[in-house]
Amino acid sequence: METRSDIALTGHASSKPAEWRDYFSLMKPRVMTLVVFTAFAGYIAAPQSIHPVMAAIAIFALAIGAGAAGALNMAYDADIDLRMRRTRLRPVPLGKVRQEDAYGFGIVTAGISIVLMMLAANIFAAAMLAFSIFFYAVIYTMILKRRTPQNIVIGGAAGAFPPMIGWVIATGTVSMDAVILFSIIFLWTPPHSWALALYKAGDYADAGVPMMPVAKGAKRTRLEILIYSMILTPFALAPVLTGLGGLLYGLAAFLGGAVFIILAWRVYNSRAGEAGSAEEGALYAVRAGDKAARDLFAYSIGYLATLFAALIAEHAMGAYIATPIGGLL
Amino acid sequence: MTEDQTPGTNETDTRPEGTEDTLTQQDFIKARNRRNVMIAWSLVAFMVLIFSITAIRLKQNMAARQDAAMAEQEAVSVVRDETHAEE
Repeated sequence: METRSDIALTGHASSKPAEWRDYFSLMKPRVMTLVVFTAFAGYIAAPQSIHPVMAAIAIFALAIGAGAAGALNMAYDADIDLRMRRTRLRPVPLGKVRQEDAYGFGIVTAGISIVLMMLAANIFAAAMLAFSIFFYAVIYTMILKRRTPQNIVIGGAAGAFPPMIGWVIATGTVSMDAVILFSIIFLWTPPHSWALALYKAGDYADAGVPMMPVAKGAKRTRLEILIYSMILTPFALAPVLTGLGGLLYGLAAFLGGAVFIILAWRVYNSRAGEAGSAEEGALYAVRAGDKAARDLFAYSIGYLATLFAALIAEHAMGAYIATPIGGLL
Repeated sequence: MTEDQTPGTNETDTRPEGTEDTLTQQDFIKARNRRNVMIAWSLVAFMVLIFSITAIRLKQNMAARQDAAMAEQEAVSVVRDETHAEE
């Protein structure tokens, strides 16, 4: 079995030298896109605003910070990334970027992002960004990921920070609405990640990552997905009660939540994640029994995007229509 | 020219001796240069961002100071008017 230091030493020496694109892909560009999107929603939904150029720089800093955390994650996880089909083509396991270079890149970009955030927004937003990078790179990646099946439950907090930081960029403080936005992503992460883990359980088992299906079994995972979905979908209506979300958001959360629960129920009643493996064939090949999990995984991304898009539409495009229950909380 | 057999293949390496190493080194240098250019552009972008932040902060602070001075002037004139009125 190859250790992390073996990879650092041998690097699986790719004959091709590292290009700037390899460093860019270290930053997990797709995750950065989601971070920018949710942070913008948090910023735009806040009751105050700052100079638009400053806001753009602050959100850019947040994206760089998320990328830095991604680079540190890829540097540390090079050994397990190498064993997983989904991740083995990342720059470090491929040997394009050396592990120590990835660490260096992550630390430097993290520093730049925090300084930029402090200058463009405020020190509170910068401190939250620093904490979220630390939480993802150290608490989640280095401590939780390889030790507990609750890794993504606790670690999910790292991905939930962006809308709250967006809010803090605008206001300089945290309010109940900001905490609600944080909690929506926090509660969304377990059913989303476990749906993927159900049909990639073999991959995680090979890598020795104790994801829920590997550590507790598929049946327990399907039950937990359903429980988290039942908590998430009513909670996603909370912004309507505080008045943060209007009619459009309320409809999106209600209808989207109903479909979410139906899909989670289908996963619960399926045999997703049961013995056998979907790892053969194409990268995202799915066995018939895993289809329900694959559907929920794909849908959960659209669900979260729709919620935040509704918030943006209401607060940036004048689509806000107050509901009779707005302001109850 | 060498007629060496490339290990693990049936192909014959007909390139001049040392060419393979030179090409690899050239690739490496090219890639390093491209990375350096990207670092340079990133530094320029960072400088532009810092300059923009400084300019906007400066403008905001000057506006705030002007507002404060005007408010102070108004307060002084109100007090002066009240004093005149009392006299």
